[in-house]
Amino acid sequence: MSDRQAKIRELAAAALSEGRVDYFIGWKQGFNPSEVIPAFVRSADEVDELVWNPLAHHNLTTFLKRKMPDPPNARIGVCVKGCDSRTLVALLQEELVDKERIYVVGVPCDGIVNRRRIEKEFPDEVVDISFAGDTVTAVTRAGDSMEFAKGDLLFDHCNTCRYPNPFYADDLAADPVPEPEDRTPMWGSIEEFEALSPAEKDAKLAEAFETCIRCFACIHACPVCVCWDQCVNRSRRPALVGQRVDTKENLMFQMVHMFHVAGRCPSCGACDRACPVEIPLYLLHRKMNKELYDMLGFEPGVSLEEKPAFQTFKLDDPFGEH
Amino acid sequence: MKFLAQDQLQAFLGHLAGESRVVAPVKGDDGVVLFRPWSPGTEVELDVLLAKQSAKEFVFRQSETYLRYGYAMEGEAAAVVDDSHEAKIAIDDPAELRAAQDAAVTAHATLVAEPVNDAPAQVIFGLRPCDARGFVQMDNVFGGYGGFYFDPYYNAKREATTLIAVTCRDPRSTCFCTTVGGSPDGTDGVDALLTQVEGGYTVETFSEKGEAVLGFSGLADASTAQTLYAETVKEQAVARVDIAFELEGVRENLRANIEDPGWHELAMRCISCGTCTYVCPNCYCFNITDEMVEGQGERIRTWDNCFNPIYTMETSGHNPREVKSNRFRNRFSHKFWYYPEKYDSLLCSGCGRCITHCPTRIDIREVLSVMGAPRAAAAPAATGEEA
Amino acid sequence: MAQATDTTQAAGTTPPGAEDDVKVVGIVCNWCSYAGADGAGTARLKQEFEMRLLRVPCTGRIDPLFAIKAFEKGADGVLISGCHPGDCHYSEGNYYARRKFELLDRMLPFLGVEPDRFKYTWVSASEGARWQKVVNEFVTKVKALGPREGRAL
Repeated sequence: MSDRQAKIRELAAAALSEGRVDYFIGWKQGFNPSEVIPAFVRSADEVDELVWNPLAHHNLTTFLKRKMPDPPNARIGVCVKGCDSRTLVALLQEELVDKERIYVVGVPCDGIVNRRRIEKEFPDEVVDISFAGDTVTAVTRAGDSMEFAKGDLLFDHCNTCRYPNPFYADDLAADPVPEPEDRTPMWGSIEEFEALSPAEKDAKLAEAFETCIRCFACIHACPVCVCWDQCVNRSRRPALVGQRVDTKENLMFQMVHMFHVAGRCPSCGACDRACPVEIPLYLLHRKMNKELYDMLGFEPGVSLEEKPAFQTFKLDDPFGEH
Repeated sequence: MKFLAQDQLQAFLGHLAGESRVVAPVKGDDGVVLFRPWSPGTEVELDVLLAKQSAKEFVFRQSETYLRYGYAMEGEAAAVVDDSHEAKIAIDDPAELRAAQDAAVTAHATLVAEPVNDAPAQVIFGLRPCDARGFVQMDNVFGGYGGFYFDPYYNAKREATTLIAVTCRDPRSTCFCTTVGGSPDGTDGVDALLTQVEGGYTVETFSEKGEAVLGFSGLADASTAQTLYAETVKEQAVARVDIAFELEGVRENLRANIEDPGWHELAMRCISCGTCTYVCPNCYCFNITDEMVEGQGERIRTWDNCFNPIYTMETSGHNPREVKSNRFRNRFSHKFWYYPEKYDSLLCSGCGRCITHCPTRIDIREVLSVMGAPRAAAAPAATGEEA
Repeated sequence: MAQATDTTQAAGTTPPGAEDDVKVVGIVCNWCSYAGADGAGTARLKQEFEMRLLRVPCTGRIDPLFAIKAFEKGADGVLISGCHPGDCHYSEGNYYARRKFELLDRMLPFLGVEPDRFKYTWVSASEGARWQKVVNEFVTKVKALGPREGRAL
């Protein structure tokens, strides 16, 4: 793991000192050693702040989309994990990012840990998280500590990941990790939800979306949600979603997001991680991708040559023979 | 000082619930602590320092109807046609149906508007001094400070709300209340303050509303030991909060640094959502919209946020804050420069929620340390102006 | 031209405005299904009156969110109908559309909406009798489920 960190720093330093990029986006430590945040590095002497560890969850490709580059015509270096590279490919499939302006460092990934799960073990604040092999150690402000097995803390989609190696990258930060032999997607926790009755599903969704504060964090953290100031969730005509913040409007808001990213979302989980009230958004997007796979054998963002599923069609699509 | 034994807490809340709705920090099944309505038997979560959301939504509601309006039928027409021009009678009788249709065509409907300002009595229990202080900061804006605007909707609810805060025993590393003039045992806006001691809580009151809670029979006089323990808890809590940045001169420095390219650097990882403004105890920007369907509607006020890309979008299509770093600069300047100029106080209570909830952990302390301090004059770099 | 046969469905059994009145929305394309519905009307083929039609130029215009919005606003059933694939008035509209409707069809149950409340199909301008059958079968199914109450959608 520390090899990847060193390699990321090396590649970033080279890209910056050779003037191939205006800035390089990676990850760095946040306000204490239990937090990791996106890092924007402008010169080779700053690359030592870049880190790589199982807390590096951000999908950095969101900083490449429309209106995010600063200045707008900047040449940008970016680190991507396997899932992140799929959102990048989805953006490239639609030419929403200029391939010539980006330098991509692919980071083969062993899985990202869910920091919120660690947080919930303590009423006190967690101020340090460290990794040694497969052991994760968390320490609180009062000095209490607890050890976890890394495998117990991985995100659901890391446990079912079929694409740990970024396949769109200019350079790799390490040799590829072993790929799963079977690429058939696994859908994990959604089967439990599917088994509920309609009334139970409605109740669970209502509970979840009652707490939504319509902050748009999910929408802005999502790399393939690019409409930004033109987002139909903000528009008054048409008013698919009003200004009122209540359960039904909140779910409608999320449906707008979900259907508009359909075919481009690889369920990277960025939306889920960004939500300040921890709504399980990931569940909905993952279900959508399961259906898409069942329908068409299509997986978003795995091939530059493909077009997103809903922007194309086949004459013999086997649907609707009712 | 009074004392409330731990095993009397539920009874105390029950007593409060007799007169008012009670809202308290409650942990959900997903482990998330939020202010929720309390009912007998619901466990209140006081070990976790901060609820995920501030309590401001109970006074300054996230979306609030304050006017209902619609068109009402008058006179003869009202007997046969309802307010949305539908026949009131059975379809089967053709002659009457025809009469109703004629009436509907010529009927005169008037606009009827009905203000809505419900303000049920409520107690917000278990908030922290920084949360309570947030209300005081909003009171300035909505409450007629210095002869400015008096908002009847905010004030009705504010009047009807009692704030019972709990001293912070274990402040987080992201707390910085003392930097901005607050404290873990602060009493700004607090009607009654509980401090956790052995076996229960000491209870102090600071207002008439606070004194009203003393009517609970399960309160005893606090012993000297309990009083001293409470003082120690408070002192230790204050000592645990670090000073995050130098407040002196921040206003002047923000003004001096307005064109500094450092704003771009600090805003790079911002994704321009709105989380920080919504979880903040005192951010108060709002939108007013009419939500209507076919002539019946409601005028509502909803939270707005200054990071919204179209926050300053004008009808002409011009947007003065199109560039993300300008919106970013605006939020911190509002809190530490514009608002203080008008109200002589800061628009931040140091709770740190914006730091812990921001998807990329933008740190207000870092921003103020850098941009609230004198900066060497630098030539502006590419300012990222959009076409 | 379809024969002017009356169906056995007793239309209008529930008066409008009654408590168990269901509201069914049909979103249909102008060229085939709307014309087919018109044909059914001209031939006086009785249909369950709970169906209300929205006309669009092409099913390709239909955003799956229209159906979700309809359910949110109180529709108890949504039917979408267009030209048969291969016969789209605009050549390709319904080819794009059927992928979206298939996804919608699979997602709605996940949102707590019973499968019988949504259907998408293809009815051509000359299929008036078939339109009658489609409407009556669909509305009957929705009526059997009754009005839909949802807190989330």
